[in-house]
Amino acid sequence: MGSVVRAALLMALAGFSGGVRAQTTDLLLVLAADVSRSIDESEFALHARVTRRH
Amino acid sequence: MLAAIRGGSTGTIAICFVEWSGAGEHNVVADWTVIHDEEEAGGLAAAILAAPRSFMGRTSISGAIDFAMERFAAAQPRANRRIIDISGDGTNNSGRPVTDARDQALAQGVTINGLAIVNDKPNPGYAFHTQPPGGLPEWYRQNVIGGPGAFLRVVEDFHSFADAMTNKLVSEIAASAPEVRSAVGETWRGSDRRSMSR
Repeated sequence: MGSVVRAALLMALAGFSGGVRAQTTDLLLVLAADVSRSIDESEFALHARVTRRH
Repeated sequence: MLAAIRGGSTGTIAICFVEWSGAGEHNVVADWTVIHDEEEAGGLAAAILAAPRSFMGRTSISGAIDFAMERFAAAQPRANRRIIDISGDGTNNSGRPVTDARDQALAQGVTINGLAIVNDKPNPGYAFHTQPPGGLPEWYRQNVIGGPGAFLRVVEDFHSFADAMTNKLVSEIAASAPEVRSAVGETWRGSDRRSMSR
């Protein structure tokens, strides 16, 4: 599942452009991805498909 | 998502990406990164992509929440809003009760959103874990999410995962939880949750 979350996040991050750093932000966001053993092969396969789309 | 970020007062957000499994199994894949431009987003994406899978153990959502709270405490960027985004396909089966961790986080003004990934494949020995009575979404709703504006998104089709992630992030950034059933499953407004009154 971690791979799936990573792939999805990578796609979501696409499209940023331009800007400056800031130490005061509007939001602190912890993205916490489950990588427990319940992951199956189909999830890994999805990772590959999503990565290709990206 | 860029428009949502730029709609804020600073036009930036900070993201910390963590992988978790059983109690005590947490890994900061990408530490706090202030996101506004393409370079920053690209750096975060590269770090996430390059990292190997961290664990393959049990499921401690409580541990993940507790660890996220530690990351907030260690964060250099500051913000008035703090959100933990828990994604998973099973119930808490390791560590302390998840509701204890959730309630402590909520008491500190943190919002916990959820991305419940429905795994309906036969899962001998783990059926209760991935398919609890009432379904995983309801379990997440009752045990995981909470706080101001909290919402849950459900992914019933892994093929929709990327879209679900994008939509969820936009909702979190814009602080406006979606209200309607979507192609990737149900969402609930935080105001519908009992935990809102906690």
